[in-house]
Amino acid sequence: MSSEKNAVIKVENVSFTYPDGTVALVNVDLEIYDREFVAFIGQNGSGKTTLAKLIAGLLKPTEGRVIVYGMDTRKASIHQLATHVGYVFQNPDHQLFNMTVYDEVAFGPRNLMLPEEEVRKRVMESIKIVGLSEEYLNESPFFLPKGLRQRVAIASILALRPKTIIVDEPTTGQDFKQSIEIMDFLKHLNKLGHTIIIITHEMEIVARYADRTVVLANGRKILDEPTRIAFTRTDVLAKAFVKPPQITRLAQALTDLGFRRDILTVDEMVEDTKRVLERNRKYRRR
Amino acid sequence: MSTSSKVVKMRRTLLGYLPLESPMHKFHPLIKTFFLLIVSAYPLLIDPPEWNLIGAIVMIIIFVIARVPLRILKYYTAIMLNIFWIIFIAYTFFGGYMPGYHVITKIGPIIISWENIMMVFVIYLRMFFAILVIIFFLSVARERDVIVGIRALKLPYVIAYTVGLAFRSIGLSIIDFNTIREAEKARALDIKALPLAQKIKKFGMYIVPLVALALRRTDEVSNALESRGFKFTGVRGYKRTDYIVSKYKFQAKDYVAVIVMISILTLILYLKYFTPYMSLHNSILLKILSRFFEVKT
Amino acid sequence: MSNKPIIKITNLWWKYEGRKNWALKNINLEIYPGEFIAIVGPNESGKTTLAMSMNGLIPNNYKGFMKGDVIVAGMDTKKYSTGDISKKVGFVFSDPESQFLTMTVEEEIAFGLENLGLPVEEIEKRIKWAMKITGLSEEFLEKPPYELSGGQKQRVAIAAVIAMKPEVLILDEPTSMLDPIGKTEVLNVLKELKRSYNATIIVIEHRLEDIAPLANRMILIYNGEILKDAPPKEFFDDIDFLLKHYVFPPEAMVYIDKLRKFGIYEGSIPLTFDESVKAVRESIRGITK
Repeated sequence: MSSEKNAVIKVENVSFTYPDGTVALVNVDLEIYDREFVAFIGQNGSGKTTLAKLIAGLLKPTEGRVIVYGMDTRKASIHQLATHVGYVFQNPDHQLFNMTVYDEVAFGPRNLMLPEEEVRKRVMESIKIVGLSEEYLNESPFFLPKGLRQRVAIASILALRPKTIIVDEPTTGQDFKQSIEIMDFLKHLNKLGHTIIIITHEMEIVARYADRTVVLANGRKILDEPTRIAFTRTDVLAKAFVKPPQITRLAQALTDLGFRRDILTVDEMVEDTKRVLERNRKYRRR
Repeated sequence: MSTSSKVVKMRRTLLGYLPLESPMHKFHPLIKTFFLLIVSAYPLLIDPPEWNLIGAIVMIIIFVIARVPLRILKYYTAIMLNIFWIIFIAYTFFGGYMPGYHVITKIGPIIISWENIMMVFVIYLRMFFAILVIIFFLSVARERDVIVGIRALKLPYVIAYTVGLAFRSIGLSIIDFNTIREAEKARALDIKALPLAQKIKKFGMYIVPLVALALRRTDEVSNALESRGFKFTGVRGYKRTDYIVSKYKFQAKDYVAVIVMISILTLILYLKYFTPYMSLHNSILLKILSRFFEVKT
Repeated sequence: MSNKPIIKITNLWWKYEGRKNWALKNINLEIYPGEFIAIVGPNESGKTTLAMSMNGLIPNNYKGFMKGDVIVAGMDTKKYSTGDISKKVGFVFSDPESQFLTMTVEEEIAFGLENLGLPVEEIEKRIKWAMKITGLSEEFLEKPPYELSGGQKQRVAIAAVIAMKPEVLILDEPTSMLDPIGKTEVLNVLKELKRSYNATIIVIEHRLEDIAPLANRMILIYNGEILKDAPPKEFFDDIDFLLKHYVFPPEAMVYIDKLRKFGIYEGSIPLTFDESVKAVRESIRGITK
């Protein structure tokens, strides 16, 4: 990693043990840079959710420290943390507490004690970004379909204008089309200047969207590389019981024909096939 | 994840963890329920504080024999102390006055009498014993024990089923509750910084998602019930087997335990109603205390 | 495979109360004993509704309007309760959490068997058998749900259902809420069931990579209608058709389909990963020879 990059989040030798004695993280170091799109992967219980919650300041490290935007999460206030790092939970039902969509999105800004006209401005801005029509503002979030509830949950976080947004399993239970929609939207936020961290089990999603992949197993960070390189480290991935996307595995099984080991998508594989064919033809001709 | 090898195998109970080798696991689950029902009646019947104190000491010995980790008690010392102060203040200062009470001192309109101070000791030690009994039950019983207990008593299955589902939903709600609290924090709600009235108001907000989650789950739970052939009792020709209860047999030691518990209960009833030994007048502890307060009784 | 269908659906229409659109439109389907069927399609397309109409939850436990007939193991779902049908049709739901009804694994598996009123010895035998197939060891019996992983809970759910020895086993997205280990665990159970348990198995799934090689029939539901009903080889032969209806075939299939369009590969789309590797290797060697 080049040192010119601006690390907005620094996890320094952090360990975390839950009150019941479960050791969730052991000596983890991690830096997240401004405007990155990072994926945390690993099995349930590997510590990836704990790490994400430590970054959002929802949990405080047992040992070591977490610095977000220059603040130690142990010393920063809830207001400071929430306006810098947003955390979208997996199940929208855990994070929708209000009777109308408007109140829901306004909840965060109101907790910041902002004047009501500023609150209104932020609500309108947020629902616009997530593509939610104004007609929903007076509806109860409870009765909306799951996809829309997830959008309301994201809008509620955006209203706090956090620079980094963490999304826990955005595509679990979603079909192909819904997954692409939500991920394209997160990419859009990323282009707008937000740093995005996702927690996921879906490697195709990681391959398509994440610049960098952090792999956790048994509470330890076992891999932290640009996604393209991460998926070539199959020996390390195997320790976390993670397999690269199918197309990557196909390319890796065919390296003897001259395929690259770091293919991430079907389109890349098609491109590489042309190259392989060309090369083999030349080889034969000679 | 843990690397230590000397881990004691524990089994989760309603309140904490109980080592697998605890003798309590050898008893029929019903014994635990009986213990709660019968032994918690002792302090209610006993007036002299020293008898309740003895009961409490015996309870702590039982805790040790049953291998209940004693740190559980540590969590409750604060509560126990608070209860003492509440009872102490309530009775000494606001216990009221009746003619014939032995007045110790007067603070303005408040009369502090020996009778009220005596009640502090009587009531506190009674509660002390009773709370230990309840903590013991919660420390050794699992949800399953309660269900098997209910089923073994041949109560209608619908009761066991309702209690079981209640346990299950409480378990799920506790997990939900923690997540909701985190979600509120993520939305900049600083509950600690709020004044009390606001705090209480915001507390109501937990209810919305908890109910939402419960409602969405209800559908799924009832589907799962029906899909496994469950019918409420009362449907003609529908007879459930009770496999789980059939796995437990009442053994000699279970009978002994019940007999001992009931014998002690009978003894207490006999002493209380047919002999003077259990009356407050004969309480040695109170006699000593009355001398301390220089009250002539 | 016998000639008499175990499930016969004729002209089935279903509309949930309060909804404008039909959730299922004129479904006609015959399922034969011993088949392994995968039902695919985007969310909200009617997959779960169809599955629930095969075990009687629809129309018995949901309010709505139904036309047509569903006959399962000789029972008309309009005339029999879900409880009765459950003796013949087992149903595993996607959420491992909300279908775990009791406080220990043993109670959970025994629950359905107790409801059937079986003798105690038979229950004990069946619990052992079901745990063996789902790969759960004896020490799990006393465990409460909160000490189990998602994959373990889902295996318990499957054990609880197959212990009732249903003739038809329906699994509604059994792996969608699980992590990769959990998915693998459940998939291995499905393989074992296919191998050793003589029942009709119907699985609803999004992720086709693992299910395609197991199924002998694939059904695509879109917008409440059956758009395609074919053996896997034929089903995956028109990749564009699947993509158009928001079904995402395994990446290797999409890739090989592209090779085929470029004339690099000829023949049908391979179903397994190993076959795919072999197909690509042979066609590239063939071209450059």
